[in-house]
Amino acid sequence: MTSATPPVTLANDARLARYRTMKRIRSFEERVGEMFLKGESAGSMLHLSIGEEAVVGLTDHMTEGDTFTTHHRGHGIFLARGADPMRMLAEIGGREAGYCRGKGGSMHIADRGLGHLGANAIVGGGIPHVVGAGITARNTGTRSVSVAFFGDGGMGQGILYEAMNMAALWKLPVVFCCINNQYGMGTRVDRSAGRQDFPSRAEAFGLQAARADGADVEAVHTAAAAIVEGARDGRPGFLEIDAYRFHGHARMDKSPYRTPEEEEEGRRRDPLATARAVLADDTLLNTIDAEAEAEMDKAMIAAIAAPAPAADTMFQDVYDPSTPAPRAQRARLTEVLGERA
Amino acid sequence: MGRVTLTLPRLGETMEEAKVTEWFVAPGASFARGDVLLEVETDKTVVEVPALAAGTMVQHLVAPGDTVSLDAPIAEVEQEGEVQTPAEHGTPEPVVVRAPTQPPAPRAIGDRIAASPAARAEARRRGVALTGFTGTGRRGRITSDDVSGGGETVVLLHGLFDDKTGWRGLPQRLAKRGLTAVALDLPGHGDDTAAADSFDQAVEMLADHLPAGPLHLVGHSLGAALAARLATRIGARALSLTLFAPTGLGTAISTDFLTGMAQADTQATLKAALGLLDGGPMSDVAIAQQLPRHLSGLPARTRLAQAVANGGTQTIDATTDIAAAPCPVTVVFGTADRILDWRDIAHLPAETRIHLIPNAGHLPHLVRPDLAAALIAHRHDMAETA
Amino acid sequence: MTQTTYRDALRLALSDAMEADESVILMGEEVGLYGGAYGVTKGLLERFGANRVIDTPISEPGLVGAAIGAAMTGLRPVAEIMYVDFAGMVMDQLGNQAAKSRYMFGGQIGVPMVLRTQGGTGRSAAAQHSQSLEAWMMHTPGLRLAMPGTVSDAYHLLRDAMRQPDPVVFIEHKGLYTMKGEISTTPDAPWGQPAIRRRGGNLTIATYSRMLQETLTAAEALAPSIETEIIDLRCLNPLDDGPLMDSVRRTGRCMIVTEAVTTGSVASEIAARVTEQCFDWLEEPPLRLGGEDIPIPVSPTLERAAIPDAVLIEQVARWLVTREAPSWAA
Repeated sequence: MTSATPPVTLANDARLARYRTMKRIRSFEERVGEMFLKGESAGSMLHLSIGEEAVVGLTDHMTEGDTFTTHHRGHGIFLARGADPMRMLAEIGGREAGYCRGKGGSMHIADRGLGHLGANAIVGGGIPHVVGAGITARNTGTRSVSVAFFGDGGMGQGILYEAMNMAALWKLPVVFCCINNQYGMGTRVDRSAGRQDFPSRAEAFGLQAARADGADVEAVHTAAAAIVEGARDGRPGFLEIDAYRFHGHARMDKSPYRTPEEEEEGRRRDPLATARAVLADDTLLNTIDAEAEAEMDKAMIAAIAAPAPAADTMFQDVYDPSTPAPRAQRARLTEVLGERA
Repeated sequence: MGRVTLTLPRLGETMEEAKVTEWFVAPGASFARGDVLLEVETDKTVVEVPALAAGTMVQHLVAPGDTVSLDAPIAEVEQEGEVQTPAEHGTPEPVVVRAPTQPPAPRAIGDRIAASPAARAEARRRGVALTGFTGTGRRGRITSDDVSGGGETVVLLHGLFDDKTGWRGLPQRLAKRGLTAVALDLPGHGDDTAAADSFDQAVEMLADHLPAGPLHLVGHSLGAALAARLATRIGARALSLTLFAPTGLGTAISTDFLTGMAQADTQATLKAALGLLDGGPMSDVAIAQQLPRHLSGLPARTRLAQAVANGGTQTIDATTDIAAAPCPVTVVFGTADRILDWRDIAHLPAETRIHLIPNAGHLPHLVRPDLAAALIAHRHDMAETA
Repeated sequence: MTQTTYRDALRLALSDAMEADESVILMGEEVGLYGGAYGVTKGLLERFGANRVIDTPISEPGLVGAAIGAAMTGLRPVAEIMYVDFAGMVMDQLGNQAAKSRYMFGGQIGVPMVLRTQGGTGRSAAAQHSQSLEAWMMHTPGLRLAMPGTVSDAYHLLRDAMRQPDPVVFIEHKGLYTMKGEISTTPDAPWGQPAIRRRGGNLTIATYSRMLQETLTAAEALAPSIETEIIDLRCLNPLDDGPLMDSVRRTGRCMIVTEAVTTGSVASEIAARVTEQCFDWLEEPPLRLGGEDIPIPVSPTLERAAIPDAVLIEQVARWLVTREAPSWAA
């Protein structure tokens, strides 16, 4: 399944860099799980992308000015696009220091500067937004690409097909990336798709389409090159990344609907292991590993120490700050019930 | 390294407890950070509990099959590094309920009376106006309880040689306005047998009979002077003072009336003395009925009369009390009064509201009962208290 | 000042805005070549080109989502949903995405878009094409909401809507497109403010959209024995309810008229506010007069009976003020 790649040398910085990004993602997601167990996360709706790190093969083709939306399993994508892990963990912990000031959490994380137009908790919710970003790119003459990341569950949403149709119709610079981890929550993909050939659906709508093996980040990188660059030229595309979700739908839950044999088999399809084997310099890789673990530990400790948002921030950012914020109920109650008019 | 008691963390959104299904690290065995220590079953699914730090298992505190609550101890371990315990599950903000403070003084809203819809309906049912009620509701609003509980209380104090029935239909008129009228007998008058030998003693005795709570004080003649003194005594409880032909504004007083009443022992002499009051025609039947009541206890009443007026001169001064009144004061005089000189109103303070009824004698409240009823407990424009 | 129509006033607002700002684009079904289902966007494709007047496939959620993405990245789209009855189809993009993005993302990303749509009865368009669903939007924090009831507001309110930094749902009325009127040189009231359409001391009537016209007709019939003060709630979010409360404190009686289903309506919300804020000034309870709690039937006589009209408004106003009951009140 792995492509025949030469052993790593310093000249292959790009592959090493991709390994480092994947390792950082894995360490990060493990810390998210720990934060949950420590009771430091805001709620329990945390969806980990452990096993799906090969998406780095696509994000590596994105540049400044490109935008993207993700599903609820998008921590790794955001990290790959340059996010600060401390601010991410702070947001996941509902802290003021988080990217969204503790208002969005894991499922609504965003950063305009890095091009993240938002993670979405509604399956498919963020998909049509990239079409709009594509219209903006077209109208303003940039060469930006907008990528929608979603899972195999999203293939069931009608809005995906509306969006693909419009992208093809108007020749927009957008990419639809389906990270197929074989499960939509508890339902395996062969129980939710009448025909599992997802790229063919995109082709039917007029898009360039490809599939890549999510156990091999270099294979993803190669397949994504044509798709992303084609999109920049006004040929919208679709990429399916075949991966395996190592843990349960949320947190580190188990998946009782998966057999132990299947899980064992699935976890062998580990993009980090594949990359390690190819890169082969254990000393260097171990250093990278240790640095990643240390970086994420430091980020987690800082995020946990960060304070919660102040109570009055609840009313901020419902609307643009140039307009009045909504009124707290207590003000109205005091007006109505207070002893003095 | 330190000995740590591990507790069951919250592993799911609605999880309150879990059943232990399997241990993966036996006592004595060591484990790395991230290794699965045990597996539990929650309300939703099966969950693995990993180690948050490397260490060595010392003792299992729960066994497979046990149901364990959130935060309950599950194992003793020797753990490396900093111990990071799960965050406290926050205690909810305590609910603070402050006891309601005293309601502020009633405040009319513009020129409207603030009353709840329920209060208005209750007042309509009882056929009373809202003007007689003090609101105890929010911002001085009149509530239905205020209406059901009866309105403000008016105390009526009659004059010398009269009694509490002398107000005739005035209490009923006041009730129509939602006011509760309480007419008192002066000491030694009417049904009251205890005698007062002085003005001050009369004040003391009346003070004991005053109803509780805020009061509108109304008096006629000597009753008016007594009312003015009582107002200063009860202070903030006095809501208003309405004085009909009050004694104590000047010195002049009719000796004919006082002597005539003190000495009347026949229907003819009684009728003649009463006639000086100009209260309108009296039937012979009424005089006949009144004579025995007049004669019973007369000496006590005469003593009181002598205490307040000595041979044509009033010995009490009500102007000081009126000037010191803790509430608005209204004085009503008939300009044909033959007992007192109405022009003594010149001694009243500027703040007093004065009504003069032309051609009326010493009983202006009986000559114009409609006006009397309207002036009593008149809802003045109340300034906002600070 | 020239006579024009509600529809033409809307078109003028769109073209003036597109002329002034390149980032304003239109998108929706039939907005380009067809000129708009109700003719509002006629001629705009020819004038501004296909990159700025975009005919979309019949993909309501997709087109609203695309508008959101365009707004997030720097354009100022005016998307159209042909009938407000289709709001259910776009409620995720409208209510979960557009309304909440700024908040969820900690203030980083606004969605300056307008969603134009129309609703209301009067064309026997039947249950799925005749509703008034503004309550759904008023109930969603993050969405602004405007509903023009006059020709002048069709222009000025839409121009204001297109300037807002937050998503605006702009609900026109199908029965008003042909209404004639004039566009005043300045708006009748600022964005977020109601307009006092008539002064009177006996009764305050708050209303909006086509019911404003019905209410104005009723007011003429009630005068001079009953003088009504008519408050046009043209902007439901933001809404400054101060002028309405001032009016009710003067008149002591308030009626709120809507074409929408009465239960859970904007009228119910306004009535609750009036009760809270004017309790001590009320002679009567604030009264809602709205559509029956039924889907809209197709038969014209039934359709007319399902919602208030000038006659009913007049009857109920008279009943409220003078206690003279209408003949049907047995």
